[in-house]
Amino acid sequence: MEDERPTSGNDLRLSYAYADLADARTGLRGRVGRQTRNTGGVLGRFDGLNLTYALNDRLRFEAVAGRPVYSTARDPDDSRVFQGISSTFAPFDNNLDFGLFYLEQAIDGLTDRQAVGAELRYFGDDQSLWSIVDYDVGFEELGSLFLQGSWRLPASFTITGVVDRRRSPFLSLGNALVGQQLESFEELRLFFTEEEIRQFALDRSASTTTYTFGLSRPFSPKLSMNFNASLSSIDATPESGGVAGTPDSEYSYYSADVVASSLFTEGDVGILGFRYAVSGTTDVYSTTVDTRFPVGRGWRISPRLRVDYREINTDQSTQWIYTPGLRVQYRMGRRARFELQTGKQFSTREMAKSDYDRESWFVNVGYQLFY
Amino acid sequence: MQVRLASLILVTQLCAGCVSTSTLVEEKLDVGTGVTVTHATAPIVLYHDNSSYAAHARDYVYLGPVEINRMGDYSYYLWLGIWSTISDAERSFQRDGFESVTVYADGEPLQLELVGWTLESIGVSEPFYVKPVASAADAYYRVTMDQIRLIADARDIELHVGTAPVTIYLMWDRQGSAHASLREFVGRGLYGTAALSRP
Repeated sequence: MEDERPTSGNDLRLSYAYADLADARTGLRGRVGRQTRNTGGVLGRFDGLNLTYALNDRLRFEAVAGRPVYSTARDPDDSRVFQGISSTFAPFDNNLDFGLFYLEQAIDGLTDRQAVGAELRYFGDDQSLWSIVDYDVGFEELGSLFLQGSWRLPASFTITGVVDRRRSPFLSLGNALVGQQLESFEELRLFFTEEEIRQFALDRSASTTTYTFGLSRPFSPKLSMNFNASLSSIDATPESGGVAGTPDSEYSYYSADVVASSLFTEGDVGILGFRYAVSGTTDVYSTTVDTRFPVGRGWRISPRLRVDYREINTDQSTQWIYTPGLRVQYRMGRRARFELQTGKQFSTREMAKSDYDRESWFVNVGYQLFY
Repeated sequence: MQVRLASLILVTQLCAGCVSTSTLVEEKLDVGTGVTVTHATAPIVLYHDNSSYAAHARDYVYLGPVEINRMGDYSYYLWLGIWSTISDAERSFQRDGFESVTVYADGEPLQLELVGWTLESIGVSEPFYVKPVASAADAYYRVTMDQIRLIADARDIELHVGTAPVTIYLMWDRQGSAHASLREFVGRGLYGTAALSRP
């Protein structure tokens, strides 16, 4: 009789197992087995085949087919299979990489994803831009849009911005299973039509949007500062298919960091950080002090402290959290490295009728040997 | 007339302060220190999926070579730009682990020696690589030109960061410009001699 109890610690987790193949005559290259890919519409780890043909230094074509592996602790998702094509154009003269892709994924014979998209990456002398867009032609919805840019201005000011809009979880027909009391997608098809399943998938895939803006400037070779502001929102999802809806939510933070070096000894660094984060339930004020000291050639010692003050709006309570810590690293030539990390957390929560104190600590020791 | 002359001198000095050998490699005079800084314009992008925070959360490292010329005394460094799509409130200590970095260039390990976290550590006054996000942490490592060449020639680059635990950063797919930029940097030769001998 097969034991189906969950186990821990002994599971085989296979992250990578692939073979690279190359034909020097045709320029065709391939990778077969468990691998990851993050372009061409592929969402990370998969079991399958990735073929690449480079026409020249500037133009490349790729084809990919396989089954997604969402967790290394589980078997590949047998119900899903995908195939896709993509091309990359890299006009080297102006530091621009541009790629286009089409990918189709099926789940139990239905179209799970049907994505077209593009990736653009540009690095100039004073600007950088990275953009990835993924549009699902089946759902006629934007799957994800990631846009990150930075621009160095006169007087060494750099402004940066990130826009990240996506469905979460990533838009696919299989999302219809979220919240259902069913074991598999196959079972879902017994109870609902394809159109209903398609609507449930959209309903379960909340739209999330994050805008981040930053400004940084070095004031001297030893001192630099940066400021950041970020606003994230998750849209509400409706009730459908017997699954409850979820309300919308917002989270934002504002932060500033000062980085200074050679404060006490040559080569040391101190980072002082301030943060204010706001969500629907909590306001958090944080101060962080992070210091790093080299001692001789082998030792590095990093004392640090984080203090958080939380205003919890749900019960009008407040909480102080102090987290002192220490990291020590020793490098023994090129053969060995040792690291010790330890810390303690004290928290005091003041509620209307009583206070609640808590303490916890941790020690983490590790080593690395090189042969 | 004096104003025109002063303007002309100013423009000439500004032009002299920034001389690009190509769009893939930039060479410029660091006005604050008088050293000449040469770097690849397109860094290599490496990433680490951080799904413990969110399904699409990723940590990124940009990797680029730097040559510092102090009146004919050349030194070489790797710059790492460390950033993440995770809220920086969750990453108070984003430099952790970056004291112990090993680059695997096609499987060949290169242990990097950290020299510092600020421009001071490499004797430069102005940033040369464009920060991807304002909160990105900079780290500088001393290397040799041979080590940069090994990285430039590699098809596959991995970064192993930290000791306990080790975090592995993999190369982002399709980086034609970054590879070309690295090759151009190395192609200039030691001390930029190949570039000097070009017609």
